[in-house]
Amino acid sequence: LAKFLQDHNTLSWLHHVTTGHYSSAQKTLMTLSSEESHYLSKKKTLLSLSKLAALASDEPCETVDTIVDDLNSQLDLVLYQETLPGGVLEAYGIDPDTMRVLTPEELIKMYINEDNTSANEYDFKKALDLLEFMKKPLGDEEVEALRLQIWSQAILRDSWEDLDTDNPLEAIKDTIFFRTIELAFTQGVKLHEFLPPVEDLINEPELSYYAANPSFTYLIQAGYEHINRLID
Amino acid sequence: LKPSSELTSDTTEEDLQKIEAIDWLVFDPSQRAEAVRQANALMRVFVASRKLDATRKVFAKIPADSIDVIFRQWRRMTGRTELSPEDDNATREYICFQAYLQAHDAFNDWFEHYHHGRPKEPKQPEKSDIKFTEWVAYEHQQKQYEADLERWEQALMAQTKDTVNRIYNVLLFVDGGWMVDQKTAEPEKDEPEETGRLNQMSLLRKLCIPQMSFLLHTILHETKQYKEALQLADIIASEKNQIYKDFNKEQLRTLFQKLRESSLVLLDQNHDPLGYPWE
Repeated sequence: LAKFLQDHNTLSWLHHVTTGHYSSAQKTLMTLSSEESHYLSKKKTLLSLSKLAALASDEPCETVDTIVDDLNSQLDLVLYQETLPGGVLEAYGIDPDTMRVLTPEELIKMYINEDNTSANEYDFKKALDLLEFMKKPLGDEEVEALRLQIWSQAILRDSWEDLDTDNPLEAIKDTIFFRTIELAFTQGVKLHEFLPPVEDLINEPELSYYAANPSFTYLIQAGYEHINRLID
Repeated sequence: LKPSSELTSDTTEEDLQKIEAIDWLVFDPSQRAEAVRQANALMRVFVASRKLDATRKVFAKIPADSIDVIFRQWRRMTGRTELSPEDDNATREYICFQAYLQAHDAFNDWFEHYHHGRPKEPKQPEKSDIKFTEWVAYEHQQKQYEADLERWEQALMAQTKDTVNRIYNVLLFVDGGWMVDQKTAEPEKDEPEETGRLNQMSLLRKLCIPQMSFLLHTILHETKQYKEALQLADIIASEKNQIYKDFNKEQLRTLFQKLRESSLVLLDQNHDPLGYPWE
């Protein structure tokens, strides 16, 4: 029976539970969760069960802690999808009860897309946090391109042409762009890695319309200087 | 299967004397906060020794408007609207006991209704020597039975929903969890007494939270909500409420055996072990 069930992961964890092999159950459940793409809720339950199996196992504390940390990070990703704004789900015709598993890239695009009409600094912060789930090394081209795209979209949320250049810090403090930076700062994020270099931002094609506008580049640079003073 | 009341011990003479003593404190409204603190201390001991009836008796000694009375007294004495940390913790603890008792009462009512309230099907008379009048009587009884059964099922559904909510009310108790203080007591507070209180509360969580989770599984499983029963894992494993921290290894294994039972039924119904269609 064990041999038969081993070939059928979907069932074998039940057998492991019956025989008290919680460490094996934990591994099987984790494998099943990584293979699950049809239902987010099912992936979540597989991750939850895997976590509980780790805690029920006889593995040493340090091993359990490492496994639980890994599972928690995957459960965090589930949470990012569960907390997608209702308006976005509606725009894409997604039923939250039966939705499939979305990739971090898809989630980022949904958080920053125009369909997310009421997007605020929390949405953009979430999009930036999601970059870490892309499982690519730091400085990877694809990740950095997406990071620039998120910041560009944050900038495009506000109309910069009407802002008062005589009073730059006061003028920009209510833009989504600077509110996102402020939020990250208060959460203790290291802004050096978090913020793209100002030149990269201004050269971003999506911002070309604004980049030609001297008062926009002035406001952005004034903001960057202010931040650099804060964090140095 | 046993109703939760069968997990309990009886109230002794000595217990009753302690319960009666609360009356002396309730008499004067200015002592109401102290009355609640004393009642809480008694209830902690009674719940820990599974004396549910004694706990109910203590709870009934505190008048229903007591939290209001405490607020009014405090405002009159200090002019402030926010309670002292000590009183704030005590009133919160008192509401925790209320939620716990309500969950147990709801579960016992549900259990009674589910196991004993079900209408009995009338016995069909033997076909061979049946009289016409007997047959008409049987048909009438059968109709009555069908109507009763439908009423019973509807009442069961409503009661199930209510009981599940009341258990969640304990498991997911607002702002940080059941029996978890929100304020740090003032430093001048007698320390050994306060540490003892905090220890007792932590022990109560470890005793009652797994117990409540198992009751919830029983209800979901018995009312054939197997997929929801498996999703209990999500609630217990969640970092938001950290319910899993109140389970020891043995209790987690008990939980797994229960979840496994629900999975086996789902398999029988041609679903996968978590209640989704086979892929």
